[in-house]
This record gives sequence, C-alpha cells and structure tokens, in this order.
Amino acid sequence: MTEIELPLWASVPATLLLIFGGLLTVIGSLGLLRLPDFYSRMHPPTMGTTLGAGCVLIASMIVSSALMHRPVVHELLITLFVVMTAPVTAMLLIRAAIHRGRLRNRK
Amino acid sequence: MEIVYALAIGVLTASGVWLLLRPRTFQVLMGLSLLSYATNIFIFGMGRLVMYRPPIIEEAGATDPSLYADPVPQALVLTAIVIGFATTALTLVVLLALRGLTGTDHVDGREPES
Amino acid sequence: MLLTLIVLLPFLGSVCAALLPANARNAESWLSGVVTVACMALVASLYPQVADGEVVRAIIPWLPQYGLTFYLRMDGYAWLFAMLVSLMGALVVLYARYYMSPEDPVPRFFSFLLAFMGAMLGIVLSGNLIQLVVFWELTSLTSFMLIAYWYHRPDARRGARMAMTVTVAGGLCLLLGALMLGEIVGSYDLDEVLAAGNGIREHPWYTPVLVLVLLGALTKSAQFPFHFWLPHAMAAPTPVSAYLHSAAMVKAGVFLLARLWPVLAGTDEWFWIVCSAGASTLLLGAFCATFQRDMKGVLAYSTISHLGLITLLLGMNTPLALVAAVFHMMNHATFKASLFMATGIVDHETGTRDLKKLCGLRYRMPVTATVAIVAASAMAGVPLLNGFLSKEMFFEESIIAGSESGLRFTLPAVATLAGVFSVAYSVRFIHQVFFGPPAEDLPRRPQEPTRGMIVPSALLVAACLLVGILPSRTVGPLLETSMRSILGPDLPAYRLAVWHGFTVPFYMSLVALTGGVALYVLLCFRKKTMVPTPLLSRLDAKRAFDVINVAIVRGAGRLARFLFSRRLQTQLLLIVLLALGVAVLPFLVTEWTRGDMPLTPPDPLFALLWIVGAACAIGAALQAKFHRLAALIMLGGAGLVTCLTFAWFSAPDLALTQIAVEVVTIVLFLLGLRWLPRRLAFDTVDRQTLRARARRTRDAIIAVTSGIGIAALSFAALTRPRQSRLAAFFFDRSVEEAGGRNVVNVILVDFRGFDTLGEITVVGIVALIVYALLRRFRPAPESIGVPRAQRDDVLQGALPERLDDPLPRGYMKIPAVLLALALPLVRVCLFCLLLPGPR
Repeated sequence: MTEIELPLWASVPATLLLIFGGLLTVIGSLGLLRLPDFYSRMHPPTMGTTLGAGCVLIASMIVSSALMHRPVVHELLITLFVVMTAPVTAMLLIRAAIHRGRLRNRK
Repeated sequence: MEIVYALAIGVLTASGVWLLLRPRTFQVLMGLSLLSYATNIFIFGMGRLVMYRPPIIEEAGATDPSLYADPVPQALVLTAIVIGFATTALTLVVLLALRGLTGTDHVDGREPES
Repeated sequence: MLLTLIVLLPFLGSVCAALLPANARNAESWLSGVVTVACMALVASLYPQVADGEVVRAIIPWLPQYGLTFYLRMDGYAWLFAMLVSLMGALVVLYARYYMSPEDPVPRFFSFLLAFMGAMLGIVLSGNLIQLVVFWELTSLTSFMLIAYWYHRPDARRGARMAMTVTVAGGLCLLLGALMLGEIVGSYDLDEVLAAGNGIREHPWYTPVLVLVLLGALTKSAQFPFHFWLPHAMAAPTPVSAYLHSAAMVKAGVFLLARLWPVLAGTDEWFWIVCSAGASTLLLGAFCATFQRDMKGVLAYSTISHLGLITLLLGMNTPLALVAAVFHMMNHATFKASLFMATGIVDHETGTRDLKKLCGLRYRMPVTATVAIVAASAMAGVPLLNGFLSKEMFFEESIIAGSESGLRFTLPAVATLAGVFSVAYSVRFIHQVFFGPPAEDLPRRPQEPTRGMIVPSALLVAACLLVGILPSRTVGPLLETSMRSILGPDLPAYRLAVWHGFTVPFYMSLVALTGGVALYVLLCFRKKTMVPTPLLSRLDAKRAFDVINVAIVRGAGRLARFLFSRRLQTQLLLIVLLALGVAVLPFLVTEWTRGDMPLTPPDPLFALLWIVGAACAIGAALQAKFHRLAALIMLGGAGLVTCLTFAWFSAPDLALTQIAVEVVTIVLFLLGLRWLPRRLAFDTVDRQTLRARARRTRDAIIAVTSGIGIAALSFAALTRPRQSRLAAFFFDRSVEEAGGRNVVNVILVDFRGFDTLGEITVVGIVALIVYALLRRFRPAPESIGVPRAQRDDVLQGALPERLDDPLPRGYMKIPAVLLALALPLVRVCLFCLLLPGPR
C-alpha cells in the first residue's frame, strides 16, 4: 500500500474514535455472550450498532476528508440506514421471543 | 496467505459436497450455494493473490499488466456470481414447487421406504 | 439461372400455399398447378441444350473458401427425371383438386406436396453429393408429413413413422457413403465423382461405400428387406401414393443407383448385392401382390416388385440393362400412377377399396374401367403397351446376364416367374373390381367421377399406348439423350421396337401371360387361400420392425436403469465421484508438486477472517437439517467472508456484486423457509440405522476428500507464476478502444458484451420460469394457514387490550413506518448509483 501521511489533526481523533468504537463493540459482543436471558441479551449489541458504528463512521469521515482535502460525508447515509434498520430487526426478534415465551407458558 | 486461501476453498468445498449429498432439498440448496462460493474464489484465485492493485487503469498509455490484478478471472467470476444467483433462485423455487406438489422436501419427491 | 428457378419455384409455392386460408381449395390448386406447369415448361425449355449433349449448370457460391457451393447440373438423365417429376406433379395436382374433400385442410396438403416436389427436383438436379443427401432427407421429411396427412388415423401415423424411420436411417447411411466417396475422390462435385470411377472401384473403401450407398438407395426404393414400409405408407391420400409411391420418391433410390452406375457398377460385389436384392424383391413383391385384399395393397406390392425389377436390371452390369432399367422407370411411373389414380376414383366413388366387396363396376363406371384396364395391361406386359417393351428388354437382359454369371437358368426362370405373378395380380385387380355382377352392398352408389379426376389418369394411359405403339418416335430420343449422359459416347446399339420376331424373350412373355391367367383361374377356384398371403403371412417384416423397435426401446430403458438412477442423491454422488476421478487422473502420470513462487506474507487478520468463514461453512453444513434459520445465517456469514476476500485481493467489483447477490439470496431463502415442512431434531434422531450411518460416513469421506483435493490443487496453482496473455491484451486496449479504465467492467460490457447479453438472457429466462412456477404454486396443505406467530396476533387482536399484554397492539406499525421512510431513500441512492454507468 502506498504510504500516505495523515495530518496530525486527523490521525489523532480518528485513532481515538476507532479504539473507542472497537471497545464498545467488543463490550457489546461480550454482553451478548454473557448475559443470562434473551431480553437482557437484546441490549448490549445495540452499543455496537449505535455508538460503536457511529464512532467508526465518524473516524472514516475524518480520514477521508483529510485525504481528499474536502469534506466527505457519505458515511452519513450509512449512519442513517443503520439507525433505521437496527430497531426493526430488534423489534422482530423481540416479537419472536415473546411468541416463544407465550408458547412455553401455554404448555 | 496462499495456504489460508487454499484451505478456505477446501473447507467450503467439503461442506458444499457434504450438503449436496444430503437427502433434503434445503440441504442441497445450501450445498449448492457453498459450492458456488468455493468455485468462485477458486476461479478468482487463478488470477493469483494480488493485493491493493485493482485492475483500474490510473493513467492512459502503455500499461504494464503485472502492476494490476488479472481482470480476466474477475470478469469470469462476476458472470459466475450472477448466473449462480439465477440458478440458486431457480432451484429454490423448484424445491418450493416440489414441496407443494409432492408434500415432501425429499429430493426425490417421495420419502424413502426404509 | 433457369435451373435454380426450377428448384426454387416449388419451395416458394409451398410457402405461399401454406399461407392460404384452409378452405381455399381452388386457389390452392391454381397456385400449385401454375407452379408445377411452370416447372414443367422450364424443364422443357432446356431440352434443346440438353439434347445437344450439353450439361446445363448453375453454381451459386455459398462459402467458396470451404468449397461449399450450391451447385445444380442438368444432363440428359437429370432432364428426363426432372420432366417426369414435374409432369407427374402437374397431373397429381389436377387430380388432387377433385380428390380431396372440402373438409380436408388443403393448404397443408399442397404445401407439403410442392415442398416434396422441390426436394425431389433438388435430388435430381444436384451437382453435389452432400447437397443431394440434404434434398434426399428432405423428401423423407415431406413424405412423412404427407403420409401422416390424416393424422387422426392411427394407421397413417404408424405408416408415416415407419416410412420415416426406414428412409431416414437409410439416408444417414447414404450420407456416410457420400462423405466417404468425397474423401476418396477429394471432391463432392458430381462431375468429378463420375469421372473417378476406376479410382473408386479399386479403392479399399469401395465395399463399405457400396454397402452404405446401397443401404440408402434400397431403403428409399423399398427393396427387400426394407420393403415393408411401402404398403403401410398407403395410408396416405391417394394422390400422394400416386406421386410419391409410384412416380417420384421410391424412384429416388433407383435414380441414385443409375446416377452412380458408372462409378460403382461393374464389380462382382455390385452384381451380387444388387441383383440378389432386386431379384428377391421382384419375386416377393409379385407374390404378395397376388394375395392382397386392398386395391392399394396390390399396387403397393406391385410397385415393390417393379422396383425390384429395376434394381435387378441395374445390378446386371451391362449398359443395355441400364437402358432397360431407365426405360422401365419411366414406363412404371406412367402406368402405376394411372392405376393409383383409378384406385382413388374407385375409393372416392364407392367408399371402399376392398377387393372382396367391389364387383362389376364396369357397368357404372365404363370410362374408369377402360382406363384402368389399359393401365393394368401395361403393368402385366401386354403387347402394344409400354410395359411390354421394357419387360421384353428385361427378359432379354436376364438371359444375357444369366449366361454371363453362371446363373444360366436361374435368372430367366426368376424373371418369368415374376412375370407370371405380375400378370396374375393385374388380371385379378381388374377382374374383381370391374367385372362380374354389379356389387350391391357398397357404402356409396358408384357413378362416373368428374372429368378432373379421369383426365390425368387417361392422359397417362394415352402415354402408355403411344409409347407402346410408337416407341422410337416418342420416347426414343429422350431415352437416348439420357443414356448418352450416363454412359457417354460408347452407347451400345439398341432398338426400341414393338416386334423383334419370335425370340426367346417373346416366348417368355407368352409364358408369363398365359401362366398368369392360368394362375388366376386356379386361384379363383380355391378362394379360401386368397387372404392372407400363403406361406409369407407369418414372415411379416413389419412385425420384425416392431419387434426390433420394442427391443430397442426396452434395451434403452434397461441400459438407462443400469447406468442411471432416478434418485438425485445417487446421481449427484456419481457426478462428484466422476469429478474427483477426473481431477485425480493427471496425478497418475505426474506427481503433485507445489509451485516455486514465494508465498505472500501471511496476514493474521485474513487467517482470522477465514477461521470465521470456515466455522460458518461447517456450521451451515451441520445445521442445515434441523436449524434452517441458523444454517442460513451461517451461510450468509460464509458469503460475507467470501465477499471480503474479493475486496481483499483487489476485486472491488466482485465484492460489490457478491454482497448484493448475497443479500438478495438470503432474503429469498428467508421467504422460502416458510413453505418448508417443520423438522425437529427429536423426530428422527433415533432412526439412525446402521445403513444411514454408513451412508453418512461415506459422504463425509467423499466430502473431505474433495475438500483436501481442491485445496491441494488450488495451492499448487496459486504458487505458480501467473501466465495471462489475455490480461495484457485487455490492459492495452481498454482505454483506447473502449474508453474505460475499469478493465473488468470494460471486459463485461464491451469486449465480451455478447457474453453479458447471454447472461442477462439466462437471468431473464430464470425469471420467466420462476414466474411460471409461482403462478401455479400450490403450497403444501399444512403451510397454507397463517404462521403461528401471526395467528396469535390475530387472536390477540380479537380480545380487548389488557395491561399485562407483553406487546402493545399494532406494534408492527413501527417497523412499517420506518421502512416506509427508508425505502424512498434507498431508491434515490440506487438511482444515483445507476446514473454514472460503468466507467
């Protein structure tokens, strides 16, 4: 890969954001693994999908803006889609879980 | 890198072949999908593993092909992906119709006797 | 150019005829009549040139660099046949106009009749062997359509199929023979082939070529043992029988034999094969004809017998016999077509062709009776008719050939015996139909037909008479021109005359005539033996044909069962094993080595990626039976890893395509999941029999072997240097010639644009099939109802809302609103992606 110097003003915040976002996602994943029941497990991954993804996207915006010497905001679209679709999947999952619980109760 | 790549193809193929030989339509369908992944990256691999050099010409004029990844397998695989999708969709619909007509999801359209 | 027109005109007419409305009987007849008469006039106009010994040629280059030209040539012999075909065509068209009933769909009839005529003219005028075979097969095809014209009748379908099978199979042999001839000569040009006679006869391939060509000619001309299709082809309408089965198609075989006579004849093989086929057909046909019940059956077997006579003459290896053969081809065509027409008239007017029912028709149909009697006398060989002349020549040649080949008494005896039978069936044909007391129990009251049906028949009979009385004035010059074109300048002296004096052939004729009449009288006294054919009724070639047919079909089925399984698993297993075997084959010769290219440095991230990918793949393989959704998610995982791999190794286009396809595939699978039956692990887990375990172990071994094999193969390939000359080509040209920098895209949409078009077509066809399948989609009964989760919602909706409900009512509205917001956005984005196009 051709080595390109990033200006310091871009590289420092981008690095910080990436580390933060990665940490959040790892914590979210750990939570998904460790928490006891379904309903509580629903929560941790949202950390990754919201703030984690957000951090990564902002970092990406900073880096590409610095590289192209102009503001690059394509990532906003991705944010928008993530924000819109994550709740839908969460709701459908919860619905399925409730349905299962109901079945179990009936038995 | 090459070892990992080759092993990946191997694992995909093995899973695909295993599923292909199963008696349920859904399994066969999954097997076909896995096998098509394996085939695609196998063909793609025939252009050798080249990183960071997509076959997009930077400036006009005489170009050295060894600077870029091989475009020919890529073009082939691109076609293969689309055709693979078409056949997968077709197989899916056929298996649904089979299930509707025969009432079973066995590949032969009827449950085995034993 | 006139020649091209002769061949082209009937085909054009055929297309026009097919386009006319179904009830346009007169328009059809006029069209066909004009076409046939025009062909006849064109042929006639070429006579002066042909009579001077000139060969008229028309060459249209098609692919001259491969030596393929459309080549027509007309010499005297071809002229004679072209005249015969077009003249008969005209008469048959006239006859068919009145024969076909208004209910029959005439466009089909005339269209195929004209196409047949074109094909026949094509055979006759071809100057190229391959072209000749093409027209040859075309006559088989059109005759199939014509015999099966009344396709609602099973006998017509059977007869057509049989004729087609036999003649097309013969045609294939002929094609092979023609190809070998072309190889020997070095050209398919008929002129060059005809000039290379000696070379061919001495070539080691001579015998196979001879056998193949004879197979073609003998099947077409219904020679023993392939004669059985002709009587069954009599299910065709009578004009078709008159045209195809007396004058034109069956003559194609003997035409070809005479055409290739200078090349193939003159050897012992030729003599023995052709003569034995001819003689056995002659006797068999004449014998069977004597005992037929159907008028057309008599004529069919008599045609077989006369064709046998011609074949026998051709086999005799003397130029004079060849003259007699060609002469008899003409004579037979005239009297047999006329007899067929008379039969058609009888059938048309009385409604039956059964010789047992018909009787005494001469009272009601005197003209038809006269015509038929004269024609039948010609067939029997009564003096002053054309049949007598050629039969006389035949007797004479049989004596000469017999004494030359050591069959001094056999050949003349065979000839006389056949003559006896031929007289017997002719007498029987006439006597039973037209003489005796008037029949009472006929389906229809007979009366004289319209003039249009009688005229063609009468014209032919007039020709018989004219030729019979004044042979040297009428047919003599024509025959001489045609013979000169086959035999060249060394034409032997022969004399066409009614009276040769009291010679041996004359006595043979006398014996045949008296013997025939005597035989008929004898048979009349023993009427019980008339039907079925004595001795031979069990030896039915048609039954043999059927038995062979059935045996072939059964054998194929058995072979298929042996080689092939109905079960998909077995088939797939065989395919996988075959692929494995083929992949292993090269390593029997060489051994596996890794290439000597240095490995690229390993990247732990990539390894990690594929650990996930492999886990997904294996997981999908294990879970696909009982946890479909989980398997599907893991399949998606594997697909995602594949996609990342593409991106990793510099293929952004592939990665994009892969992810789009991946998403759509998974969504489709999800939609399909609902229609699959429920399968729970505990349902079947205890049914793990020993056999099932063995099968699974076998499959696992095969799967692992294939995996290891392909991994080794790809490793070996990956470590060898890349050798792609194509890449350089595309890199050099993509900017200048296609104006694109993304080489993959340029290849797809520009250099290999047609491949992409094909790909799009495939996807389109799949879409159509999917549509067709889903339109008639019948889901399994248990998955028709609303899914259980939704059913609960519906139930819940019927109750008043309670506080302890886990979900509020109408909770699905939130995703619905979100999607309604998101979809337009997605559309805009997609449109933006679409606009720039491939760059």
